[in-house]
Amino acid sequence: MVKKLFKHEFLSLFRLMFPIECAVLGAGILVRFMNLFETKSIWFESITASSVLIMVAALLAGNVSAIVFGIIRYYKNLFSTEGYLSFTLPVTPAQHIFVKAITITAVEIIAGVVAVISFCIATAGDLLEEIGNLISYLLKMAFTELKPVHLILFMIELVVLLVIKTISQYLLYYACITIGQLAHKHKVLLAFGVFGIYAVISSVASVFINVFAGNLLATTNLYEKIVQIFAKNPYTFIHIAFVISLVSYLLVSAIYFLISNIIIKKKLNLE
Amino acid sequence: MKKTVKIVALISIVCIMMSTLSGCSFINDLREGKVVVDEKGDLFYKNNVYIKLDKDCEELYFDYDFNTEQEMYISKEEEPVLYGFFKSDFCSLSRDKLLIEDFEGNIYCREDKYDSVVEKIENGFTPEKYMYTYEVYKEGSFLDYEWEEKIRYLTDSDFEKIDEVFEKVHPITNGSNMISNSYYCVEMYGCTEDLLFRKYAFDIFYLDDKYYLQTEDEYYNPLVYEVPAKYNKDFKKMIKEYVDSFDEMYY
Repeated sequence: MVKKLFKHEFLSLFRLMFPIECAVLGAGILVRFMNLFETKSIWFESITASSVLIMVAALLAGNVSAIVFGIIRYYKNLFSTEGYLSFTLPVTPAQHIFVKAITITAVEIIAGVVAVISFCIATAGDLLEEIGNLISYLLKMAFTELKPVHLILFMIELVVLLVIKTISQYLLYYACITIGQLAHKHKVLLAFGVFGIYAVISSVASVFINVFAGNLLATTNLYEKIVQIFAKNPYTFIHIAFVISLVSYLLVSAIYFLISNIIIKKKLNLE
Repeated sequence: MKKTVKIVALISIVCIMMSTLSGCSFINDLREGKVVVDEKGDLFYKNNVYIKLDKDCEELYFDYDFNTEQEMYISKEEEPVLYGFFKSDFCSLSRDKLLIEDFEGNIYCREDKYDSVVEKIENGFTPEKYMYTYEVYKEGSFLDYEWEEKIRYLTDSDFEKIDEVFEKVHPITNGSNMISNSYYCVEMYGCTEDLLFRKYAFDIFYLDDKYYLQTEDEYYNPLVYEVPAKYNKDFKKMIKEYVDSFDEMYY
């Protein structure tokens, strides 16, 4: 059943995202097409610059729309009248949340890939060739300067971290919406309010943590010790930093997941 | 619907194929502007080798004569053009393609002329002409005022009058601060025919309806000479281009 749920989630999001991703690709084609007619005329340069702006707007729209559609889909599918059907399926609330988080993350990754393809179309020809040369040269430099094993591990850790961070971000949104649906009226407003309160608390908390950490480093010799450890084992230090970040994101993701799961199980409040 | 999608896909493929066949002027300019540096520190550009001038010479080259229209940068052979561009080790080539100036102000001379340039730097040069520079509004610039530097050479008759003033007129006592109160002050340079070398010669300045010449003695003290009234028209004509450009820029 979960497989079918994945399939239907993907199809729904695909239907929503397809026109936007076509527009992103179209913007890339437009930019490349405009560059066919290169002249020094100021009017032509203005038109070309406008096409680049359109492409940037399309790329932003592609990214933002994935977030917006993901959130709307979660709300409508679980907490609007559609929810009556969704919760009759032989699928637990945890599975619902899990499927939605994974599919929207996958859609974000696809949107990213489409953005890259659009960029490649826009720069097709000599410019793309030189960008390719630049990237391969930088990679060659990185592999020469750093140990290849660690570099590959860094890349893998970075990709995994980005994926976990994206999932965590969506689970946060889902938790806010789930808390919001507890209200009898103005559920969406409450969801925004919860997100706003979370944002304020996390900003204040990060300021306190930074001040505390700064004081600690300044008043003790912890900073010198950290620098010494880094100087001796820079690769290990960075790997540990990645792992700590990964574990923290997994931890907060689990908390957000639990909030949504428990509320849906115990306090579901459909329209 | 399927037909429409097919047509759109076909048009897109044709556009992309056409676009891959066309170049990119930005990249072409970067490729044109790549100056390769070897391990010794010599520069290579369009089959010419440029060797660094270790001699310090303030009288060498004119800034204006360096072509700043084309973006040139110094980069190693194996570095891609975009890497060299982002590293921003920019340089400029003189219009006669004899010298390259890098971003640190080091001058590199083309190998075939290196010895003669070094010899002139070491032994000094005799000015063959005298000139001053002025700026004119560049035709065709759209939004910003673009100025280009021009040169006005002094003619033989100009220089006869100047020589006469220096020889026959006594320097003004306490005239050292006059130049700072002048309306116009034009710096004159002695230069070689090819404009490769120049050195400061004297100033012509205009104050209270009179023209003056200022030069320096051996101790770098200013010496001011008043131009006789009979030559006022000639001196006015001499610095006309400078005055016109000055007025256009500031008024």
